[in-house]
Amino acid sequence: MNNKTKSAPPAPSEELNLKKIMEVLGETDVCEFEYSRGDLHIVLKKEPVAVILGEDENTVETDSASCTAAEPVAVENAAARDSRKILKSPAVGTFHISDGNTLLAAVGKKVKKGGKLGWVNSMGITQEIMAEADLKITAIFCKDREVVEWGQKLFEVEEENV
Amino acid sequence: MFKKVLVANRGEIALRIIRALREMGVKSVAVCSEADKDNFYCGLADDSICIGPAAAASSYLNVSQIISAALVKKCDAVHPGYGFLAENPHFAEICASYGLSFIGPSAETIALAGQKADIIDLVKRKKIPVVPGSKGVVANAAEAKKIAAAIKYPVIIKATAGGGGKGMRIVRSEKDIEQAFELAGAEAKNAFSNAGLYVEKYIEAPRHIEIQIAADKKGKVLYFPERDCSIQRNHQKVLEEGPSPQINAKLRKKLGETACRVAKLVNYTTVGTVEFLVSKNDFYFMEMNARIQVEHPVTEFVSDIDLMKLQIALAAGEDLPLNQDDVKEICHAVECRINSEDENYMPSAGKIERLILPGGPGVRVDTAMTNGSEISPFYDSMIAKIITYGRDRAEAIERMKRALLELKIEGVTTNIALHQKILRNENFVKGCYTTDFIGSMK
Repeated sequence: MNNKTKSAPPAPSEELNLKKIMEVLGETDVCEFEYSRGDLHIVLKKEPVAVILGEDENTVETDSASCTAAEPVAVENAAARDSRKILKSPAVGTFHISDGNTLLAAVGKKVKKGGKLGWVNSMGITQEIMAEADLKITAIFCKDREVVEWGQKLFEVEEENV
Repeated sequence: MFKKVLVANRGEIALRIIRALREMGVKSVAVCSEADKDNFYCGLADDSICIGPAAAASSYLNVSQIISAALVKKCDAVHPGYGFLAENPHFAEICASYGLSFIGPSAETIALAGQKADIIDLVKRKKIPVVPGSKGVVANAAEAKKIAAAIKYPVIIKATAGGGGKGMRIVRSEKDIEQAFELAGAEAKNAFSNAGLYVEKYIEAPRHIEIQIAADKKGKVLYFPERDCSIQRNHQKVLEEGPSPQINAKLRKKLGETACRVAKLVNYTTVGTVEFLVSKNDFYFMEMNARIQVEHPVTEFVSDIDLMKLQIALAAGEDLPLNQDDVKEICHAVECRINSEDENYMPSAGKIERLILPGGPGVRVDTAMTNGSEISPFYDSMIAKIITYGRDRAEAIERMKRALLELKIEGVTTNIALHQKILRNENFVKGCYTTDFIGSMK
């Protein structure tokens, strides 16, 4: 996934066509392009696109003061970073990670593909947050029974066997 | 009075509602799409909540997200503003079923006002003049042809659930009616999920006059001085003024009393507008808008009555605090809708690089735009409403000219030049214009 290519610098007579390079980058599985000449240093990175909900994010920060059930974890390495995904709320509603007796989700807990991490209750309708692959929960951003808005970060997960 | 109101809209009207609620001591919750999250007006509300992605269908038109937002934020009422869900009777009904007050008329009234063929039929039975046309929905082009032959060309085909010029075609001869019927039907289905059409006589060069009404739950109704909305392009209002320079006191009273009769017929509550086509001293009921209107500030200036606060108070069950005699015309007002659009009236999306708003005596600006705001292709392209008032029409117009000179918008194409051209036009200055004004000005 994290294919990194050090491109041979173009001949001095060649014009550096960034737009063209970005197009090529978009069409191939090359994820990163670095170019240095003299003082000029260019790094182009293509972000991984495999996400469950919302855009992929590598930094783990809470975006709401009221939204901290777990401490953000540090990013250990590039491989771990690439397998991490942010799961966001699919609806406005109340977030649940516990049915009152059982805690479904906790930081460090491993969940099998198809397993339930939690749910958002919206007007009495339950929208479950399911694991789309075997994964480990690396952060939980909201408290049980907290009101969440659409798109709010709920979990950071790390896919296993990536 | 309500304790906390969910503002189920965006942009300038959301800000207008938030301001009114603040002055009334009622808490407000703004909803926003992902695209509007950073808009400053969300921060002016007491609370805000993101309800979906930029596309209106998934956010501002998403009933379950809006209701859910109202419930989780513990609101007791929802203000729909205009557009989006404002005239959706199902939304009003769902609000009620969840114990939320809908700030507008009842779902039944909205449904009746929204089905234009039905309300026209109703007012006609009460001898209120309407433009001659079909009785209810026309089934097909052949039936439309028969009706047109009876009422004589030109005719206009309109969507029963329509508005804003969509699903509307003027037909001047029999050979064009089949195609026009099909096109209008397809457009109506696409815009309103309802392909129902009706046919009526097309009144050439009429004036578009609307009467603001207010009604309480005890059945008391009163009217305000009219707004002249004849300056339109593609059947959409561009510039409005009040009172109309073309309506005398006798006709004003007649129109006002007729508007109140219509409101009573449909059991209207809160504020709304009854629209008429006026040709010389004849007038025809056109439609009822069951919402606060974009151009409500014109009436607010003319009457010195805050319609937004009045709407909220009436929805909360308060009695009308006024009698008809209390409603006066204290000045003249003009409103220019500043849109992001090209000279062919096509919306132009983009970023406002620089925005300088006018001010000074007699100028009001309703906008949610600031420097750096994006005109999103997902929403209406209106940037701002500039409203001016004067002791008389001439002063209101001069103030508007001055305000438009002060207004600077860079980064997107606007219709400021069109407004300046209208304000300089000899016929406009004389107050002699009809709905074909913009077309004839070119």
